[in-house]
Amino acid sequence: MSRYLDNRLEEQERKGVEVHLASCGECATRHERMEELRRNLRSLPIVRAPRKLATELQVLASRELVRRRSTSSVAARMQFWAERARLLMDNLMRPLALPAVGGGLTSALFIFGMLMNLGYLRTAANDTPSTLYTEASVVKMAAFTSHTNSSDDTVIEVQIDGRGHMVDYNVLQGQMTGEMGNLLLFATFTPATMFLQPTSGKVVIRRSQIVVKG
Amino acid sequence: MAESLLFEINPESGVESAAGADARLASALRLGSEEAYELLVARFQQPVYNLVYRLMADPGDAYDVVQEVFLKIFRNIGTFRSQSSLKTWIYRIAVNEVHNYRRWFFRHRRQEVVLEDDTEGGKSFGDTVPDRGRSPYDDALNDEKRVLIEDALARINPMFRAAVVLRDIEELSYEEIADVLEISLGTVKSRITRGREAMRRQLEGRLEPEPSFQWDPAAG
Repeated sequence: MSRYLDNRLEEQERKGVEVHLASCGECATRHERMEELRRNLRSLPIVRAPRKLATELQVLASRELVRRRSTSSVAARMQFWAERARLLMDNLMRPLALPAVGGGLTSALFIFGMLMNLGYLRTAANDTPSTLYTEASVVKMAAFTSHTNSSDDTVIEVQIDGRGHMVDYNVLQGQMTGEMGNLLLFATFTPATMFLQPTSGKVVIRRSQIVVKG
Repeated sequence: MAESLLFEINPESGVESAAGADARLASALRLGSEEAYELLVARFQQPVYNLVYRLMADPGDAYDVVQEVFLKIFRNIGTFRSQSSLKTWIYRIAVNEVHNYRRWFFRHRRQEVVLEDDTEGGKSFGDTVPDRGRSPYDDALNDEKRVLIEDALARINPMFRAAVVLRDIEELSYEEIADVLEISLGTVKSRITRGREAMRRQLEGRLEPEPSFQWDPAAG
């Protein structure tokens, strides 16, 4: 009966079955049920493939193509593995790249800024003190009255501590005299400051020789 | 060169035979034509999915199985010979993959307790291609019938199920089924008959027969 249903019987066999079905109720019913079953099976709707399946299969195809090409020759195989290694390194480093660059750059800028402020900041006279650094300065010093035989200027670098006291001096040019030493001892100084805190610093004092002719 | 193979038409007949088209596609695939791969996926992903879905007792894994099928197709295209059609060759791979999956399942996952999620596991009527000619009433009735038939199909012997699906759903000829299942013609006939019988027994009493209207000329 199954072959009759599928039209797979020879002509003579088919006629024989038709004759039998016309006279046998049980077989006729069975044939009808089988026909109905086939109808039901054929009317089952086509199950729609998920949309992402096509994308997945295309990705699979691409990977397979790459794999095939990479194994086609020794050179292709080496190039494939070199590209895989490069991709792996890129993927490993990418999460660290931005923080590393950003952090490094920020640190460099900060340190550079610190160095710039420490070494080269100068405040003008009567300027509002900077919070970073202010130099030591002379508050009060008596004038020089003696004369020397030398026509050179005298330049003295004085080391000032955090309390504004002279702790050392260095003659950069000319000669130190007794008068100059006394003047330095009794001079008062303002200490240098860093972040508003008193600190040691230096003051350069120059005594110029003025010659008046006539 | 690989791409041009896909579009060559016999200048004498103007129409390319199915076997010729299959051979050209297979050649292009063997040569590594990207276009051929895309064409293969576009042409066969829906029919293969439908076939695998119907062959599996639990269609929830049809998605994964179909991917395995295509992977096998891509890797074994070199073994395709033009003795059979590309379709039957691909269907053969699909049937074998379903069989392999079934063996794997019984070895590794049979003991697991699966919590059914109706929204994901089962297919609703909305996941199928609709028939615009039916009314909602018809759809409701047919939906119930569909569930009964699919349930009966899942319960019969997998060997018979394959034969019934290939014959009554995919409408392959006996010869094509023999090619797909790699069995003799006699075995095909036997499995189809026994498969239909098994389905009939499963549906006995559960599915109301359709009314048959017979014209009685005596009634006037």
